[in-house]
Amino acid sequence: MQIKYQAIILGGGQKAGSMLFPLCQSYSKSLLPVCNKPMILYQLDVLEIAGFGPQDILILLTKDHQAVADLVQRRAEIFYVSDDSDSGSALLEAHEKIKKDFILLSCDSMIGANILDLLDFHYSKKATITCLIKEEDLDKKQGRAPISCNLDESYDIMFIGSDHSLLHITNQEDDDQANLSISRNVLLSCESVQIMTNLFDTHIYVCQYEVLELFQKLNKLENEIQNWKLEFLPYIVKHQKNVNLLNLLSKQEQGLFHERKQQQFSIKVFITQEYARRLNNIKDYQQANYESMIKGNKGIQLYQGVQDSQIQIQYPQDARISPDSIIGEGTRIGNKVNIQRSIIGKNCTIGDHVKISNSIIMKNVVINSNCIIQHCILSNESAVGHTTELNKCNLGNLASVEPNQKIVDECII
Amino acid sequence: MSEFYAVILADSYDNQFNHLTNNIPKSLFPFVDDLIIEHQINWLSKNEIDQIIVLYRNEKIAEYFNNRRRPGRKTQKIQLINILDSKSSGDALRELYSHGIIQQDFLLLFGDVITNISLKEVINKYHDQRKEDKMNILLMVVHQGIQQYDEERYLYVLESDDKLFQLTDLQQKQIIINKKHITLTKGMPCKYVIRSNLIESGIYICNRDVLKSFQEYFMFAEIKEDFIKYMTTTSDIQEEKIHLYISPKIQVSQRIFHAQSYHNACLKYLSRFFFPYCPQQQYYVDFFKYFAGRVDQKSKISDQCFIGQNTDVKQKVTITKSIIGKNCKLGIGCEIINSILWDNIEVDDNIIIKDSIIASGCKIKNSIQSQIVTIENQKNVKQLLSFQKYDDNAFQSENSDQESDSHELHQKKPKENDDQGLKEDMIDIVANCKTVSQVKEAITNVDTIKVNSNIAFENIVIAFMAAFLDTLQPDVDSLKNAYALWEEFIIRFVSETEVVCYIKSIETFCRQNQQYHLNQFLQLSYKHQILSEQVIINYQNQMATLEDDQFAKDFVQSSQQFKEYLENIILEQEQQENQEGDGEYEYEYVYE
Repeated sequence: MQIKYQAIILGGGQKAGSMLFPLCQSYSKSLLPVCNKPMILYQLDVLEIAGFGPQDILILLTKDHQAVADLVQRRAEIFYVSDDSDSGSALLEAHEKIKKDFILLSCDSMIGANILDLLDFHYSKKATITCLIKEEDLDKKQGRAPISCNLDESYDIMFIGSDHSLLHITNQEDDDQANLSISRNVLLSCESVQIMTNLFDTHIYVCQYEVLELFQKLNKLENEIQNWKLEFLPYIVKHQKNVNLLNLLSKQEQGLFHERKQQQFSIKVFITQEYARRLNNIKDYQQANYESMIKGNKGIQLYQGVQDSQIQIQYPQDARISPDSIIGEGTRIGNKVNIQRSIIGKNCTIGDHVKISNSIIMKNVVINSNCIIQHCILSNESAVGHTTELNKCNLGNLASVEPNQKIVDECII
Repeated sequence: MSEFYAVILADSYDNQFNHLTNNIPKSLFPFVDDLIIEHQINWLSKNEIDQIIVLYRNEKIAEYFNNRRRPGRKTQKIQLINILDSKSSGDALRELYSHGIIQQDFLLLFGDVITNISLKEVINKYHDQRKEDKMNILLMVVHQGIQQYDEERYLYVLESDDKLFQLTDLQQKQIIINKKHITLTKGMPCKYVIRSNLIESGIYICNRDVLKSFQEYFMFAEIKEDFIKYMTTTSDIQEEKIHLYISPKIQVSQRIFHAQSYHNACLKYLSRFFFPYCPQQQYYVDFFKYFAGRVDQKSKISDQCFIGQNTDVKQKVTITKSIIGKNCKLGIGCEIINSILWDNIEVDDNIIIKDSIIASGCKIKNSIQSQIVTIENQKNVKQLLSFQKYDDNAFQSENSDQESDSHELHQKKPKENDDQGLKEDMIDIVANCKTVSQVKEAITNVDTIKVNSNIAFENIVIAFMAAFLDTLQPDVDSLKNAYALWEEFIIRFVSETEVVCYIKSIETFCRQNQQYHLNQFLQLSYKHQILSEQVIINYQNQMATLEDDQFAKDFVQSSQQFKEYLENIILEQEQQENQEGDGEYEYEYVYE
């Protein structure tokens, strides 16, 4: 399978992490850890298991994400794109490097599904683009309501035909007119069409090589199509039966007999029930970390391997640490420390009498004594002064908090 | 079931079948072995509905029912209600309401429906819906299938549990789904389905409230266009609900909108589509052929044919996919193709009947005169010509003038002299035409010749070009005039596939006669929109590749300017198209 496809990971551009303020102020989004492992390594592992070697994986980065390049140097090929490019235009710039059908991933997609199934589906349906979609069911069954895989408010409205085609996609926020308007020919191409609102697009697309050419030609004509997901995809879906678009794909030689072969242009969806989440905002990021802490039967397979590889560290007897917390190596924990349901990175220093709950703490963080930290995210090398209470705060890289503060719900750089 | 009435709207308010329905209402059309209304009554009685109300406009129905004797059928209570002044089915329903017979629920049936849908489940579903909500007033019965005719082409937007949310016809290019009433919540499983493979069957189970609302809203004329549309769209709080019953795949129905669907329905009936309602088993031969009359051994009858009782089919008759009624006589050597013949028809020898519906009591002979045929029991002579598809050809009297120069068309042409005859005909036609209106006549003449003798377009074009080019003089004006005169004719017969032989014939002509310039022909063809830019450019490229051909080289040189002109036009068109970006491709319904 991997011989046929090339994997492209959108490693991070200018706008990456804009919803993850302040975590990505001076730090790449791809390097944000989930369960102490940088996000992009998850993607690379999934691809390796599917059989993609280093020569098949291409990561697109801008120059300021050099750190990512250093991390993944030997596992993938890196290509630098210009600084202000968006997801679509980055693809165009890298277009000489792309030689075959490709699978496009965003660096923040966490999926549990098997990529090989997706590739098989794409090949067997002869689709032009296949999207990996997770179907969720938020109906309350017993007990607690299930947690959605997309904690953002917005959702997509998709029209799915009976043969798995994607006939229409709009974001619920965009469409505030009173009517949904779709082309008749598109609707007639399938027997029955379902209007679904519980589908989550994981930003993983398998595309044929011609799609890139199409994108190029479209770009020459209309300059507003920059972003892949927000602009290009809805545009193609809307015009999938438009003969002008089909003609752009390839011009056939026209003999005296007017041969005109219809290009089959189909966009399909591969619906999976497996775990999927996109970590492009704070809530989802936190949720992913919480999910990675779950051990045992209800744990998510994607994170099982990571949990197991955590090395046990020494901590004093009187420290109370809940079993589902994860603490990285080299971290020193003081006395009478209470840690619940948190992830702590490597080489941190935790003072005495500190209470940490429901938090994500990255590497090299110093927390002085007598602090109370709840629901926070502390980025690399930040410091918290002693006797400070932090509640629902997010600290950026190298941030520090004065001692004796009580801060609720703020972002500190 | 004792209180359940069936209401048959035994009249159509549209203009299809106009000449036939002037005399006989659509419900009394014969449908293979019986009348349509008899088929419906039979179906209703098999579904245990005995109380029938027939709303009729034409007196003939009243006469028919008064004289009706059907031995062996259960006696049903049939009431007739006269709706003489109604102009639409809405008026008919209002009339029905004013009679006050209907107290509860009733079944509404259009007079042109042939079906085998089993009503038991339908009525059960209806009662269930009513128990749930008193606001469910209409249950529309649909069946699954491919939408063939324009009248069937609708998109059904359904909510869960088959509630009809929106019914859109497929005329406009963009379908608009009314979002006001859609509840879209994140994460909820799907509630709305859009289906394009449903066909409404013309059977509705309604509550008395339906009649009440027709009474309230005087402007309701049709059930589908007005009533259903109103109920699903404009009411702000959608109180009254319409549900759909989707029948299982073996239960179908067919409505007879126009001649094409009439013929189609007959063929389906013969193919046992509407099992268990089929023609009688004793007449079955094989391959869906039913012979109730006498058929001579030397005749060829194709599959899906029906020969009525007492009908006499003589030798060497070829019948293809046609329905012949009772007491007909077909002479020796006739050909009947895709036609429906009613009762008591006499057809003389060697007549070709194609794509026609012939009403009762006609005599078809071999002459020029034509008169309008009215109803049964009047023997009239009529003429067969202008074999346009599926048109009742009994009323083509206005064409009789045009027969003056090709009146030998009725008889079967002997196969051998076709080509020669064609050429002579063409030369005649071309020579005689001096004005544009004569050219129009010529088009119809050539059409009839073509259909009659089954000649391919190509041969026509070749023959025509030979005649046409003969009449030309070598100066530009004559060319221009000739093209202006024959423009319509050429456009009619030279379509995409004949372009090659068209250009070839011009080329050979120019090679032979050096005074004519191929370039001029092409320019004139382009100007009159006979050839498109791409075709001409391809041809020019082709000529450019021919070596050792002085003619070709001359041609390429002289046409260089024209070629550049055409290429510019193509570029402009492409740019314009890309700007508009709205060319929709007519997609054929392909279901996997």
